[in-house]
Amino acid sequence: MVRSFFLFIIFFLTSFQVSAVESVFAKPVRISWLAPKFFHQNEAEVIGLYFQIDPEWHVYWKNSGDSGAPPKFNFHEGHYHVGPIQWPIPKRISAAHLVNLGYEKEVAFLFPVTPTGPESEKELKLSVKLEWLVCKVECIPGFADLTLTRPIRGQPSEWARQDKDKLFYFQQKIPANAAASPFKVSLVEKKEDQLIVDVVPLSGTSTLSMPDIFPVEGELIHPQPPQVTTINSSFRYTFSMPAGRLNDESVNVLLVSENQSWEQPIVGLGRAGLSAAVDDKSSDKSPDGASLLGLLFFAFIGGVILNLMPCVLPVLSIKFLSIIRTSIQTRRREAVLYMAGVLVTFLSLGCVLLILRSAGAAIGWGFQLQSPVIVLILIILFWLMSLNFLGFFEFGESVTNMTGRFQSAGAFSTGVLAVFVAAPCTGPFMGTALGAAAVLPAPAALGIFLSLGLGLGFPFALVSFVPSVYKMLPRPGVWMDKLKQFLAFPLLGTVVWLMWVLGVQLGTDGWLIATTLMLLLVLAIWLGKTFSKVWVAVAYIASIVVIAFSFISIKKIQAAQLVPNNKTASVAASMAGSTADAASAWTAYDRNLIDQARSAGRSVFVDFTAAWCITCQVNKKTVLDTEHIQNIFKENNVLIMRADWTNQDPLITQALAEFDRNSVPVYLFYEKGAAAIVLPQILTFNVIESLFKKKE
Amino acid sequence: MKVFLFLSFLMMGTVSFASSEAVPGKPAPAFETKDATGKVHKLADYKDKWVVLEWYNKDCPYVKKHYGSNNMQALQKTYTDKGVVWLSVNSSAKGKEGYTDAAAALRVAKDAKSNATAVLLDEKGIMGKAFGSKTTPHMFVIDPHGVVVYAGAIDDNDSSDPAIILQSKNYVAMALDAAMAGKKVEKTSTKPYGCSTKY
Repeated sequence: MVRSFFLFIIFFLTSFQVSAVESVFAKPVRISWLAPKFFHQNEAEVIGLYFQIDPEWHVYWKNSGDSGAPPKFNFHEGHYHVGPIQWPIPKRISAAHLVNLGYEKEVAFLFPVTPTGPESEKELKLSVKLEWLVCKVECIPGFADLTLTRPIRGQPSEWARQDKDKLFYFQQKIPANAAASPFKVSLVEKKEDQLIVDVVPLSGTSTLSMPDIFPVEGELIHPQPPQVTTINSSFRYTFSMPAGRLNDESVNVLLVSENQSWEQPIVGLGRAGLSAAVDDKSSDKSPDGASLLGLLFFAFIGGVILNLMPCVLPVLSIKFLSIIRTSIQTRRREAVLYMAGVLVTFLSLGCVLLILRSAGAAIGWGFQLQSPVIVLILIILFWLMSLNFLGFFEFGESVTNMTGRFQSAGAFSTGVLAVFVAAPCTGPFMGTALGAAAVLPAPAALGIFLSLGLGLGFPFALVSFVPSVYKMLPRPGVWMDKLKQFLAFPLLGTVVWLMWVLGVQLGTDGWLIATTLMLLLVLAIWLGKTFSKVWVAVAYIASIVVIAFSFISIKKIQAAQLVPNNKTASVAASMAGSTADAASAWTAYDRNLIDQARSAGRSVFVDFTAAWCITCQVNKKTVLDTEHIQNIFKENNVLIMRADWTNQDPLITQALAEFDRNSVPVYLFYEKGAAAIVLPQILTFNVIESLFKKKE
Repeated sequence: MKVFLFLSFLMMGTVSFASSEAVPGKPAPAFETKDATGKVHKLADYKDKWVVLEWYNKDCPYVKKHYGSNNMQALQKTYTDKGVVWLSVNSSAKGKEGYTDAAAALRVAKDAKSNATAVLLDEKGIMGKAFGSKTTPHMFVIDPHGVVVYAGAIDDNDSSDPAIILQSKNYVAMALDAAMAGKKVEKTSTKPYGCSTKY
């Protein structure tokens, strides 16, 4: 015991300890009172303990966040009554991998104090045992006994002007009564590690901006900024929380909007916990019938729009050409088979996605194109198709003259092909539906995939099945060959673009492999056309060897890149950087940087993109990377960040999932001091400009 | 269709899996970390044993709170005497607060009269991040089947004042006492307090 006591003494000497003074200066903090010159007998007076903090250091709010600790105030007994402590609005402070809630530069903690002594007592002697923690990255604890001695008079208290001003400044930052809150907070869902709430502005308060929300209970909710989506005029916040700790009926949160704040409860958690547990058995996120119907509809419309995308249009056009000369029976059969191909492929892709999802993999839509092998296969495919369109070779007399069975296979595989080439062209309406598919229970998710497929196959089916629409197709003629040749060029364009994707994925080696392969394929075809059957065999064997060799090389390159763990990413990033980001104002995605920038009061814009995503590239070229928009970002001191999903990246997949998305593009905007909003997938100057106009 | 299966198969090969952290009720992440004497410790080595992991940083005031008051050493002694394996883990990166090389780690442990089974050196933060260690101290209790039974703070008072320890409820002792007696652990997860782990 004696030894323990001795150790206590040593401990105290190493930290900061003072006794019985009115102010302390314990680098990096200076603590003093904000108090009147004299108190009014028996009247409550709000006074403050004022902390001045050196730059870069911070002290804590009542919920300190991931680490740290709030200051502690133990008032000694005396002839006075001290009311509950009032904590001013905190801010998020990023410290390395953690988020803290607290204060930088200065803060005052406020207490209502009432002298309660007999009338004869003419002096108030207040004393408090104070403990605080001040941190930069490292932390220094401090202890002090502070006293405050002031006269008591029978007249209203009087203040030094500057003390009163300071006190008033912090009083403005104290949360108002929950009953006065202009926002209604209601629980949407409590999951194992997420809490989702809706915040609706009450009528007549629509002028207030979207509130930021801080959890009051650090035990129950993580301090990281919630993810926010806007639904009409209400906001949906998703908080992450530690599993298994929130068992209470309600939990308090602090809403902050434009320097006003309200501490109010989220109620009904006990009930939600139960219903969520029941729901878990049937589905983990079952939308009501109406919203599922809406999602299915969006998926269908998205599928129809896919037909117009540059990657699908040539394939589809050829399909249309092929039915021009056919009888209605043939083309109906073709349409059914094409539709079957599309649906089976979508369904299979959906199943693969679901299986991988249940295995815990972090993947999303477009994942097909995250593999360079698939990209190379598509390059070969498009290359051969364009050569064929140009008439360099026919797919053999035999194929066209084959029996119906093979033609059927043709229509079916066109359907398969259409889905594969559609992946990079995630269009409008599809993002929401695909994002939902990633989190919905299996049957609903597959329903969405099927809906997409129906949409994709719809125009072709329409033309084939309805004679009056079919009649609108032009009559056959020489123009068909010309059109076919012309269509080779969009295909070649696709090859050029896919080569670029491969280049981003594998570097210059990728180009070398692909171009060599293309050259040798042409050579093989030419050999086959020009010489005898033996040569044809040789040509086929040569092609197979070349293809096998290419794939092995790809695997080798990937393996080589994977050895130093982050190299793939950095290669890809630098490639994307040199080819795409001429204006290198963009920062690579980094969650910590976002938090830091936000706590420093900067707005943040995040562009989730991929080289293989055409919509993304279009938005980039026509809006984001234009001088006009870049200037807007610069003027408003926005941190602009690019999350490149060209290659597999679980971090980015996870970030997307937080917004219920798993496809790109996704554009996020964190307005100064507010939570994130998700912008439309098709960007215009207007969309970006309006982000900054609001404030003016 | 064959082509499609082939493509799917290829895609499977390129998928990577998300990482985990230590959550009560779930298996603890496997680790393989050298201690200050150069011996490698693996979770699999301690099958059939109770294991306590204590995230440590000699310069953190909250670690000092528990070592300066002899609280941590006493706790280590009580439970290592009962056959519990107690591993102090230092995840401070080179150049950051609390980093020690092997020799210094041994010296610091000796000076502090630590009763830990071993001091693990995790300067790359691999083990720390696998467990999701946020602070020093951050405590984990793992049962003989390798399942996490407790994760969080050492006790219920986040003051840095050692005098407060006497009045504090020690969550680690509570978890170990209950779990080792085959009873239900009352608090399996709490918010850890202290300095940030210095990755």
